[in-house]
Amino acid sequence: MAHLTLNQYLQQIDNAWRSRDGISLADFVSFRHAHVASSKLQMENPESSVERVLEPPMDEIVAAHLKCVWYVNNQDFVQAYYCQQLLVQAFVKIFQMQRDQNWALPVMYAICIDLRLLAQQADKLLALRGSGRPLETLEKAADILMSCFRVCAADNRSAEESTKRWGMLALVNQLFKVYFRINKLHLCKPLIRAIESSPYKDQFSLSQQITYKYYVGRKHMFASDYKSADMYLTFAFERCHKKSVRNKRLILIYLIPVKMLLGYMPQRGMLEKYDLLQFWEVAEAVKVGNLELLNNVMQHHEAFFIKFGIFLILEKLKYVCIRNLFKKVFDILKMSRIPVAALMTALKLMKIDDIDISETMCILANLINEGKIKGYISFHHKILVLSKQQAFPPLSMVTR
Amino acid sequence: MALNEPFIKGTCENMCPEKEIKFREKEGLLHPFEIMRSSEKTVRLKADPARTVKKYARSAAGQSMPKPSDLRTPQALKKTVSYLLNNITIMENCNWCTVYDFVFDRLCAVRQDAVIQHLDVTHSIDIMKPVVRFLTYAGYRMCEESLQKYDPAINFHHFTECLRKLLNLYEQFDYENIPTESNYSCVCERSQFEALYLVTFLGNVDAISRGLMLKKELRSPVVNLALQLSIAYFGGNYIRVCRMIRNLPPLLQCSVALLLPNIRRNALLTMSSAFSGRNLQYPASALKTELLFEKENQVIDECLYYGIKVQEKNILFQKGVFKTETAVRPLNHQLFVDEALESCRLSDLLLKCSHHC
Repeated sequence: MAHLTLNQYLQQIDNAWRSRDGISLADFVSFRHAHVASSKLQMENPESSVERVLEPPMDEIVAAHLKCVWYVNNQDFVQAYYCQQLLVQAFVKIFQMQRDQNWALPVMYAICIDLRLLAQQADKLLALRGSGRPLETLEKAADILMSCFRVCAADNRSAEESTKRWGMLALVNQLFKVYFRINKLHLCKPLIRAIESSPYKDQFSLSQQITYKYYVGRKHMFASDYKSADMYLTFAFERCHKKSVRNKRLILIYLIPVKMLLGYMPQRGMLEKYDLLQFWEVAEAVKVGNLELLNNVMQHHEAFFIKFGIFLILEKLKYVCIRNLFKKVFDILKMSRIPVAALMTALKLMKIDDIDISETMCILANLINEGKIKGYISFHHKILVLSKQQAFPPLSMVTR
Repeated sequence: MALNEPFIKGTCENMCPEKEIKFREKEGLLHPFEIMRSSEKTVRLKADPARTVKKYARSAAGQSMPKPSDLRTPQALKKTVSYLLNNITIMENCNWCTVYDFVFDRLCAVRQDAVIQHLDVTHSIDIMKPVVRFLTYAGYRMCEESLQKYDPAINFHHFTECLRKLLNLYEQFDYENIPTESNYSCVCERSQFEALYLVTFLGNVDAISRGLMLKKELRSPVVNLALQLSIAYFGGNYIRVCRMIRNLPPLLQCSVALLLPNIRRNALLTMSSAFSGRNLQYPASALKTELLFEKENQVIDECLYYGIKVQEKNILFQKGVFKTETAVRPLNHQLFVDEALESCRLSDLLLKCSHHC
C-alpha cells in the first residue's frame, strides 16, 4: 500500500465507487489507511491528474483528500483542515442526492473522524501562532458535522435497510466529543433526544452504543442525576471490550465516584488493574468516615480530579463520609438522641476547625433531607433524634 | 493587527456624531440630560455637545452601513463610558429609572460601535469592564422596581452576555500573548470578573469547573472566596454560604444578592424536612441571623409565603407543607448590601478596580 501509484489508487477508487463498495471507498479517503504514506500520492495540485481518471462528483472528493494528505505531511494542519472541510461538504451534497441508499455511510464515518481530529490539530497550531480564537476550528467542525447529521436524521422515508438514519449515532458521538471539549454540554440535549426516540436505538453497532452511553452517562453525572449516570456508565463499562483497557479506565474514572455516591465501594484489585489507586484512598476515607483523610486525599490528587471534572462529585462524597462519621458516633454512644455538640466535636476532630453548632445542624439537615439519615433535629435542645428503625439506611436504598 | 484592516474605523472623537446631534435637535428627540441648559426654557431646545451621547439604534435591513464619521474612536468610546458612569449615574433630583434607561441605552450604543469596528482585544476589555460593572450594580439597585419600569430578565441577559464576552476577551488576550502595556489592567482586576462569574452562577457545575481550572495567578483571595462560596452552595451548606456572602466585595454582593431568595428558599425547604416534628419550634431570631434577614417579621413573612406554619415568633417546620410550586420570592434591597455599597463612591465602584481583591 505504501508504494501505491496514483493510477492504481484512482483505479481502485473508481471500482469501489462503481460497485458501491462503501467500506473500500472509506479506506481510500481515510487517514487510517496506509495509502496516505505512499510517496507517489504526495501532490500539492492533484486536480488535473485526478480528473483524468475519475468522473464527477468523485473527483472533487479525491482531489480534496490528496491535497489534505499533502498538507498533513507538510505539518500544515490549518490548510489540511480546510481541505477536509471542503471534502466533507462535497460529500454531503452527493450523499443527500443518493435517495434510498446508505452504502456510503462508512465513507461518512471515516471523513468525519478525520475532520474532527484535523480540527484539533489545526487549533493546536493556531494556538502556537496566537491567531484566531481558542478552539475556533473545532467549533467550525461541529457545524459541518451537524450538516451531516441533518441529512441522516431527515432520511425518514427510506426503508430500514437503506436509511441513512443508521449514521446518526456515529455523528452524535463525534459531536459529543466536540461539545465536551469546547465545554458546551447543553448542545448535547437535542442529540440525545434524537437518539432516544430513534427506533434503532438498541440496534446501532455495539461500539457506537458504548461511546454514546459513556458520554450520556457523564452528562447525567454533571447534572447530578447519579442513578441514570450509573445505568449508562455501567452499560459502557460492561460491554466495552476487555482489551480496550484505556477506554475501560476512562469509563471507570466516572463510574467509580458515581458508584461510591450510591453506596458501592470499589475493590482494590480492580483499581490496581486500571491504575486508579487514587480512588482507593478516597474509598478508604469515605468508608470509615475519616473526613480529614478525605480532605487530604482530595487536595493531594486535586489536579487529577479537576482534570477529569470529578472534583465536584467528590465534594458530594463528603456528605457520605460525614454520614459514616456520624454513624460511628452513634455506634459509640448507642443512643437514639445524640447531642449536636457531640457530632460537632467529631467534625472538629477531623480538622474542620471553624465548624459550629449552626453549621453542624445545617449539615445534618442536608443529610436528613437527602434521606441519608432518618430522624429529626430539635433546635431547642440541639439534639438529633434518630429514627428507631434503620437510622442510617444503606446508601443503596436511599432514593434521592 | 492586520486582521482588523478590512473593518471600518471610526473617526468621531465626540460622544455623539455631529449628524445625530443635528437630527435629534431638529426632531425634538433630545433626552433631558442632553439639553443645553440655557435653552431649557426656550421653544427650540438645543443640544449640549458636551452632554449629548449617541443613542442605540438597532441595525436593520435597508439601513446603510455607518460612515466612519458615525462611529466613535476607542478613545471617544472610553470617554463616553466614563462620562456616563461618572456624571450620569450620580444625578440627583431625578428618578434612578431615568438614569438607568439613559445609561443602559447609551452603553448599548457604545458596545455596538465597538463591535462594528472589531476593536482589538485591549480596547474591548477596557470598554467592557465598566459596562459589566454597571449592569451588575443596576441589577441590584433596580430590583424593587415594577415590571413596567424595569425588566430584570433583560438586564440579566445583557449582564451575562457582557460578562461572558469580557471573560472571552481576557482569554483571547492570553491566547494572543499580547505584551502587557501600561494601560492594561492588573491581574487582580481580571480575577474580580472571574469571581463575579462564579457568584453569578452560584452552585453551577460549569462555573465551578471553570473556576477550578483557572491558572494559579488568577486564584486571588476573592476568587478563592467565590469558589468556596459556590461549592458550599452546591453542597447545600446555607450557613456557610450566608456567612461568606458578607465577606464579598460590594459589587459581588450586588450580583449574589439576586440569588438570595433562592438561597433562602432552598434552605427553608431543607429545614422543612430536617426540623420537622411534633412540638418542634425554630425561633425566628435564629433564622434571621442565619439567612441574613434584618427583622424577625421578614423571616415570618418569608416562611408564610412558602406555606410554612408560624406560631408567634417561632417557625413550625413540617415535612410536606412547603409549597414547592410557588415561585421564588422576589428580592428586596438588603441592608447589608446597601451598607457595603455606601462604603465606596459609586463612580469608583463602576470605573476602578476593586481594592478588595
